[in-house]
Amino acid sequence: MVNEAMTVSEPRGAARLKKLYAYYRGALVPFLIAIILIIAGEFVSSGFASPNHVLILLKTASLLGVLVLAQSIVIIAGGEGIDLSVGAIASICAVMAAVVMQGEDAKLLIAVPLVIAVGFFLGLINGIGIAVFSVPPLIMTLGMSSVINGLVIIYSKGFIIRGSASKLLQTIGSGQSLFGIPNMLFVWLVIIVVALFVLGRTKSGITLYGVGANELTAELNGVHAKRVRALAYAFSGAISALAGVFLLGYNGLPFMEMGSPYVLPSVAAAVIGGISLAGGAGNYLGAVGGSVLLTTLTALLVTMRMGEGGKQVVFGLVLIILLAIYGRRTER
Amino acid sequence: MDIFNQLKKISRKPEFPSVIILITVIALNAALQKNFFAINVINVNLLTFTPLILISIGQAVIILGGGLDLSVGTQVSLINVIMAVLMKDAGDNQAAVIPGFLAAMIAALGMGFVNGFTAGYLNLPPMIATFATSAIWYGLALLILPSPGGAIPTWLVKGFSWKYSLISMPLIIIVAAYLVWIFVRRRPLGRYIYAVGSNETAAYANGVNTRRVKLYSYMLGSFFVMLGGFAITFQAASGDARLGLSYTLTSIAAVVVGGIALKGGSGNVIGAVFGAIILNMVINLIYFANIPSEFQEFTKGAIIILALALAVVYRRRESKSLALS
Repeated sequence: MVNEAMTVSEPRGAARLKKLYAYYRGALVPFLIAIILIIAGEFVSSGFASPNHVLILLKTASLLGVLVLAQSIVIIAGGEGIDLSVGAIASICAVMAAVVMQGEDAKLLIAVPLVIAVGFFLGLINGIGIAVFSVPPLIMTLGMSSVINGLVIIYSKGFIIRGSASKLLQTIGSGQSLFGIPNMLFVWLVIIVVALFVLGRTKSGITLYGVGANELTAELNGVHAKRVRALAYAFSGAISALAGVFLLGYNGLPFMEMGSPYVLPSVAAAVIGGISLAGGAGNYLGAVGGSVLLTTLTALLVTMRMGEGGKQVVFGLVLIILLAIYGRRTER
Repeated sequence: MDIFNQLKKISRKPEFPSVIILITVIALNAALQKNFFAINVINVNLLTFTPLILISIGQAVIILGGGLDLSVGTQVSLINVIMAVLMKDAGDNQAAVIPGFLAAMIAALGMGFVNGFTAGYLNLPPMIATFATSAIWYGLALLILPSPGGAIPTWLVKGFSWKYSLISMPLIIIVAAYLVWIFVRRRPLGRYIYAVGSNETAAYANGVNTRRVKLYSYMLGSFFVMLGGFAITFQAASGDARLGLSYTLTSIAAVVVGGIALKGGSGNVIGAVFGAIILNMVINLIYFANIPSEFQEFTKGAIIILALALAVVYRRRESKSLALS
């Protein structure tokens, strides 16, 4: 909250900046820690902080980042919101997109809207189960991910899936252009801007926060809370589908459960980014920072040639420390 | 009239829907598997069900106290790996397995302590804190045993599958574990676990040391998880850091199917036992109904969702009729 008297006495622009700063202040911490990690990485192995490597880090983070948006929306919507099916939806949509486009650019325009619709539909099933049948989100989305991964297994019968990303999609997912900046970063930037605008400036975004912060007050203000929550899961599904398309572009070929490794990191990145698991608080910019931070940490541990065991231990410890510093529950 | 009232009372218990589902699954299993009620088959089934039953009891205790443990799977892994490495050369020497058991117990209580500390004293959201600790346990397990190996003395493995008619070692362990919970349930700690789980602020206001209760609930949960870890280890007879991974989410599903609210404070641990048996039997069903193996994952998920939606709808109707009466 900005003090009334202060806003009056100060010029409009500065007050506005101050307000923006107050709003996004929480988002700065993960970025700062990520920068510290990058500098630390330079000491471990020279070239870690080189512009090229940082761009590679950001490109890797962007794939996680899109899924984190899907995750953030349902967490913000409250009601113990969480979506453990983002990875499964991304996987099945990547498979579908690959099968439909078969490496042809011309079919990209059919494949993308199709899988986004499928993702929306799958997310809507989550939303209906959660909002209408009151199934706990954790279990509902977990069961869904089992069902969805099961569908992929049924389709492929355990064999390799035939299909691949088109040239254009591969260029978007793993190519680079202007000054060697990966194309995926431009895509991510657009997604970030749109997400921040929709979540922070539009009526739908504010309604989402309202329902997450206090369902009862939202209802009293004439908001259909259950519908909002169900739609949150549907949009989460649609964004997960989009993430699946990018994953396909990044890898070139689809494979089973390609989205699964991103599920729990997506929750962690959101929380590290200041999105409260209680709902109704935090913003996507923080979650973007969380994605960059987690990706950098993983890369740093790989660079240190730590075995899988040591990597897991350090990852867990750092996560606990970060949470202890600024991820505490504040509602009690 | 009295019997009718009794029945009504029973039907209002939170684990009642799970009992109905359990009876249905047993009936389906019996129809598909010819000698389902043969003593041998019952014993074999129980043997394979034991790990999930014990781990679900642990998860249930933690969830009842208002927590959640996403690290139970990797706790099982770490316990398994510690035992397999320390008991590798024990052979027939019975005293040589003691260090293995002791180390496993210390590890289990230590893991429960760390989880409980992050939830109770650091006040971190349990879902994300135990996700972080699960990475630590998994990492430690990998450090101890990077690739599957180690061994458990044969006499221990045989001892675990000991049976006399319907009385078998797994059954004894499950009953003992449940009695431990009943013992705790009847003491102040048991009441406090329910109190903290249903309303932490109110419990605190009534002078309950909520932090300590949380700590104890995680440690008690880890104790049951450890028993589950023993059960898996004696069946696998070797060590593998990936052995426990699938149990985390299945145990949560078992708890919820058993009528225990994820919010905490409501439900009975016996429901988790029913839930674990149901989930195991569903997997059996898929196998015996000759459903192609690629349908397993799909069917498992679909059945979990359906069972939950039914249980929730049932509970909601019940609470409405309670409110009216």
